[in-house]
Amino acid sequence: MIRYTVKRILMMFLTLFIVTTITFFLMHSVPGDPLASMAKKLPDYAVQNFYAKYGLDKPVTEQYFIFLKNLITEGDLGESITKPGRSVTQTIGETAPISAQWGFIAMFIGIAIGTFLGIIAAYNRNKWPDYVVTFIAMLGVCIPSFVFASLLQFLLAGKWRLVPTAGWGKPIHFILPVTAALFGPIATYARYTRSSVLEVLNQDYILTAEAKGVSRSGILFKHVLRNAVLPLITMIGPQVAGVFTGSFVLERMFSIPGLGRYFVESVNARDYTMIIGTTVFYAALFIFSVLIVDLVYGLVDPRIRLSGRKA
Amino acid sequence: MKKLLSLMLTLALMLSLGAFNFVAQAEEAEDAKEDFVEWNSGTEFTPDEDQTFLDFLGSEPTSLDPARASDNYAIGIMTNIYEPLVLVHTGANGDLEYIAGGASWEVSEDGTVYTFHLRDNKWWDGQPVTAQDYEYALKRAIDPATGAPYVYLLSDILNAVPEEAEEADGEEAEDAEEAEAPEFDMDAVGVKALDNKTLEITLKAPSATFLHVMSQSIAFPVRQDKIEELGEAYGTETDKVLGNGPFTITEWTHNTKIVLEKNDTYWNAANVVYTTVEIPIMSDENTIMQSFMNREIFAAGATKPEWREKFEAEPDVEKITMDNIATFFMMFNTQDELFSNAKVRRAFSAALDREDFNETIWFGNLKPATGWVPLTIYVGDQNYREAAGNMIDKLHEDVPDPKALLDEALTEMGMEDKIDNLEVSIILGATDAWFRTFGEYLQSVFKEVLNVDLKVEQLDWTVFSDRVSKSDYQIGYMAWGSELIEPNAMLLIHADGSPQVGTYWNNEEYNKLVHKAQNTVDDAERLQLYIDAEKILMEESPVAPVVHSVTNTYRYDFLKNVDDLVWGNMGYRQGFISGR
Repeated sequence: MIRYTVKRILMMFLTLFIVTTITFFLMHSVPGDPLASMAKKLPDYAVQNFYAKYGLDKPVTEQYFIFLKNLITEGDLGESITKPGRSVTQTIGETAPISAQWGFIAMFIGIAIGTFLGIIAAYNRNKWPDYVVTFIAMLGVCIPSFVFASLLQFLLAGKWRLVPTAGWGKPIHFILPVTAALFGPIATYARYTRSSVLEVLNQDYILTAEAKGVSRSGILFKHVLRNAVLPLITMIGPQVAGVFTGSFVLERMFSIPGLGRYFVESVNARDYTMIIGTTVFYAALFIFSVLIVDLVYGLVDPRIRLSGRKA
Repeated sequence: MKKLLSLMLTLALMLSLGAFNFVAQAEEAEDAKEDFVEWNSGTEFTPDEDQTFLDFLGSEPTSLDPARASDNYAIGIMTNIYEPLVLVHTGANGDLEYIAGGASWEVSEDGTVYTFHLRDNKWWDGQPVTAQDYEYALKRAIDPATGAPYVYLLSDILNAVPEEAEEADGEEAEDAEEAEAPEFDMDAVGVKALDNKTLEITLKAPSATFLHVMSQSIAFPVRQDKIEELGEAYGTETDKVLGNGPFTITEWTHNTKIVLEKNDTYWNAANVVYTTVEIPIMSDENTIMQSFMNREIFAAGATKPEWREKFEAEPDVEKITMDNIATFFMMFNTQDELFSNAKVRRAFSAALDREDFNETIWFGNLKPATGWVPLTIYVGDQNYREAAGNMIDKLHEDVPDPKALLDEALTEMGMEDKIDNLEVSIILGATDAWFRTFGEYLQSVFKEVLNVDLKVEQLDWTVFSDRVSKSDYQIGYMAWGSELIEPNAMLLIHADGSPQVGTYWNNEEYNKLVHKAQNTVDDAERLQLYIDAEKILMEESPVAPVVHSVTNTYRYDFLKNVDDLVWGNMGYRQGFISGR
């Protein structure tokens, strides 16, 4: 177990290094640069001043080694090019927790409701509760969150004036984005829970348990859920990483100061330091949460034995 | 283009506009300087108790450091937290006036030396504002090490442009790498504090736009000790900005909200009525519209017909239509074989019915172009466009049959086989549905009028500008807004084969006229030179102006005394709430 973990962590750094390198050279090979994206055409000398200021006048490989050196020796991801003076590390440090705040709430509520609906559907297979849940799940999967968001905004903020249209800082501001973000996880988890519960229900050991006279709730919690939850854990890993990095659409719509918009906007603006910073952050989180999931597997399901000995 | 457009919409929102005349020469401003201090008197309305203005910004400001910020969102905020040397506002008789913000001033006989006398004003922390602060700020903006994007606005100032750049412009590109930070003598720059209260600025030559530049954000003051203490972080957070303007910034939650509070140490605080300005940052159109309907914000621009209808149905909403400072245009790559021929360019330009274009594509919201220079541009007190007349009408008169002209040009170029068999391509700098309609419209027009097959390529803005800068296109489409009130900003970008627009057009005669105009002090003479230059531009048609931009702003009528001036920078200094 320990050997396995150490090996995985080493691999993690290697993966991270590769992701960073590829991203760095990819983004520099995309046409355009930060100045072009500001929709501004400047006289030559102003452009040269600007490039020199951010080291963009140097060859890309040299820029890459400067970046690596700063990252490794000082943990410094540099300064945003399109938002002068703002350090990338600091921006991520300030915005990721905000994305995580509302994202986790939405995720947990969504998972709870979704799993609950999934169980109901599975236990009532091909009866009306099953159809209702399937219908809700279909809606949730097909309709993008910003459509729900617009609808909620129109109803709750526009028509009934219950909540502010957008903003951040008070508990009331959570209502719209969290509700809008709920549908996704509800739909996904309802569907997955339904199918994995169904699969478990067909297993022989459930029959055995029933034959032994175990109560229905006993079967559900001891046998069904314990087994059905495995595929769900697989999905939670990447989702946790996604929560920290926020939702571009919803954060933009509700003026939430999260990390989400930096991902998309930095790419559009060719804000090189911000692109590489957010990518490193997301990649690290992603790889890390996948690792955690793998480790948790072993705890939840003793059948899975992690081993570092085999190739 | 879209980005530029949205920037401008916001700019216009911040500083709305009405009709005005322009009275700006220094002599007149002299008279005006003492009696302007009451910005908010002379109206019949009594301000309400609650003076909280709820405004909004369409995007997060990049920075609140005047030298390094480069977007109109930042400028909209900075205008209210810094006090420039010069403010632009609507005068008593509806004229546009330059008034002394931090100072009064006089100009030397030959028009090259400006001496500003500062008022007693304080920084937020109580320290007095000195001439040295303005000197430091200007020199810092000029210093190449700062990397200020708008540094070229200060190029009128003596020795403000690195010598090599000025002389060779482009030729020394290879040397630049080795010459590592060319020697730049900051002491030679023509900005000098004579004492704590007197600032002297020396220009290379008389300039009609210099005062206007002094009202712009690149000339806003910053304090040396603060910049040195905070370094790169200056202007990034609420507590990392130091201003001397009518408002202080008390909250800045990135991407969410900015709150300004009235600054009681401001020299004219007695005449600032708003006590608080709350500025949520909202980029989603539906969110903005909904917020306006809910009165969570007091003013908003609307382009979609369904929202406009809703707003117009509200009894206390007024609509303000303002001519803007930008022209939307098609551009031709004159290095392209086909479009190197002026007749071809003219044929394509004349093929467009601007009226119909405006109706079909913009629902009649904008104004059909009447020339290259936009509507709110002035020479002295003369509106340029009014004096120069409608050059597009002239084009249609000269080219009654664009198809015939195109065929003639093709024959001339030995491309007879291309007649009725010509294929050209246009690149557009956005990938959304609106631009697709736009492309389809052009396809149908060129097919119908010129029998030309148009290929439309929709690109990312950055890819678009890359293609243009590599001369890898035939026709492009963009918008251009002027930073200066005179036509020179719009006309200079076509001079000397400047790569700024990317048509690669270069005309000796035109260059001469534009440069001569720049150094001409007499208004009438200068105006004529500009008109002559624009005539050549329209004659040669490296660009085909399509529409002039117009902003429709909706706002609740309890906002009184707003300075509706596209060039103004009174910000929240002027205006108040009455009868909310």
